[in-house]
Amino acid sequence: MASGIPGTRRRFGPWTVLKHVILGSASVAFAAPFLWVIITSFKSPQEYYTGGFFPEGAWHFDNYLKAITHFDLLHFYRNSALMSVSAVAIGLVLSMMCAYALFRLRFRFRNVMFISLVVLMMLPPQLTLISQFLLFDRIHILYTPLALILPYALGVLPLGVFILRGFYKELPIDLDHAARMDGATDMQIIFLVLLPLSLPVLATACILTFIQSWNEFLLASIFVNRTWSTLPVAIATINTVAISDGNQPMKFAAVVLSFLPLLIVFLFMQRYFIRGLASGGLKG
Amino acid sequence: MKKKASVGMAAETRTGWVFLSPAVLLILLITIVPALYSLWMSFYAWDGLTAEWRFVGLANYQQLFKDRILGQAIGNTALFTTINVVFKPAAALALAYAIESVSANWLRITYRTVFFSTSLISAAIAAMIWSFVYDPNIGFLNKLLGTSILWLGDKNLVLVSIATVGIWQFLGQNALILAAGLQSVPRELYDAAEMDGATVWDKFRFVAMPHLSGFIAIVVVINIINNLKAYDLFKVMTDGGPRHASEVVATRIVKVAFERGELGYSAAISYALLLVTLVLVVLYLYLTEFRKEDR
Repeated sequence: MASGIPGTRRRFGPWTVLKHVILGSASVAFAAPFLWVIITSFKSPQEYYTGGFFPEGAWHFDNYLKAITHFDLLHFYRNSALMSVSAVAIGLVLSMMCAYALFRLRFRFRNVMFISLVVLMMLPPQLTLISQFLLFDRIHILYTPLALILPYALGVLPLGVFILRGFYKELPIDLDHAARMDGATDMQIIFLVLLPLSLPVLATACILTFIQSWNEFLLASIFVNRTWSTLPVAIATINTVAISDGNQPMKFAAVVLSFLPLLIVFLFMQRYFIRGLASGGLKG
Repeated sequence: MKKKASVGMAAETRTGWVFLSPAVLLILLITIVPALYSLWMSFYAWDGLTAEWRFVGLANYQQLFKDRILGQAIGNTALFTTINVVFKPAAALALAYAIESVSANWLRITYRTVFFSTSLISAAIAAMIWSFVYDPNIGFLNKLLGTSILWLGDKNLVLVSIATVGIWQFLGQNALILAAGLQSVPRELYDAAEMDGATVWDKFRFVAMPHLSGFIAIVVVINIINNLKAYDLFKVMTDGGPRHASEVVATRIVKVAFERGELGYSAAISYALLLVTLVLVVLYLYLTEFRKEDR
């Protein structure tokens, strides 16, 4: 993506210097908490309390291995992956069907339904939290993965429809007519004609909604217990529980392990993020 | 001919309902029914354990105005939201403009990445990182400044400390949305302004700003909505302490329900929060969707 504001590139004046000084120091300030947590995770337990910014002795890379086994992190990775992948898969299939109905068919209640969907996105989760808790208890899915997968899938829906909307509106409708002429059913149009064409936007929707589900905390801290706990809740619990052998840096190794995968994914798929935020959320 | 078209529309509307039905059913089950149940509950006194539901009419809603701790939580929520709504978009705008005017591709992408990366992590994790940064004894901030300030333990400081985390986490994301707005400005306009001898400020004020109004509105309203219901940061960093100095509406709702067992009252607070949020939802739709439909 090219520079958004042309014209400033030819000059090299005081404004440019000032800008780079401010941007540079601000990015250091933004990255500092990350860097400090990462550096701390390599310290020995004693250095955690007494040392300076950097470990003075050896760097304890084994803190990571210890964190994984001591806190059983793989278990929580698996839970988080299960919840997020299922929610995104279910949510996006539903989104494709909704977007098809709303933006590829001449649907009479298009605006009403679309606006309701957007309003849905704005509802505070606290509003339904307690009733959902009671309901899930009643239908025996409380403390099971479904108690998170269903609400998360619903959380995928508004964003999914939003992102598909811009794309479906631009795609020529003759495509559907031609397919129908050839005897394709609506289902086949959605999943055999439109799906392959919308893969790039779906990738964007996938990433954005995956992160949203992966990071969710409120429901995850209430609707499941330790067996199905997701990573953020598990790490928050680790943070509050005292560690028997006093190895605090190990705790921070766990914190680093929780945010590192997403950072790496972001670095490689930066393009999709930016495009998604630009087109999905905003393009009318 | 016209009649036939409307017949076709009726048929397509029917098909539409078929494809909407799974999502609608899920919405009914997971959102609408629980929301109505909460509304019903808000007129009763119920502890969630016994079968006894005592109808109290509007008493739960009247209690909203008498509850001291809730009053404090509302004040804190308002202050926290205001800090985030006023300061964050303004800073994000400056940041977006500065980043997008960087000419070296790699440098611009690096800046975007650094500032945006903070919004990728869970708020709960951000809260933990910052609890450590704010630690009065071994925290990064006190080490750096050579002070021993109780960033989260001082009742006058705690809200600002937590709001800082909120800004740290989502400033880059806000800036990225605004950057998308900046990229929608036609290049020729800048060139023309430059030809007329416009300064950097002129270009910002008279070329970029008119294109940004919709984007700024979205950023502001997203901030209002997300900060009114903010929970994770407060729960993990202070759990409302010290002495309710960082209690917000969202943490209060959960505590009233799960610690004090006043489910009806907790539902009433939720609805009051919804009412405030809904006013802003209408504003959001007015500013973005309706305006675009007109065009």
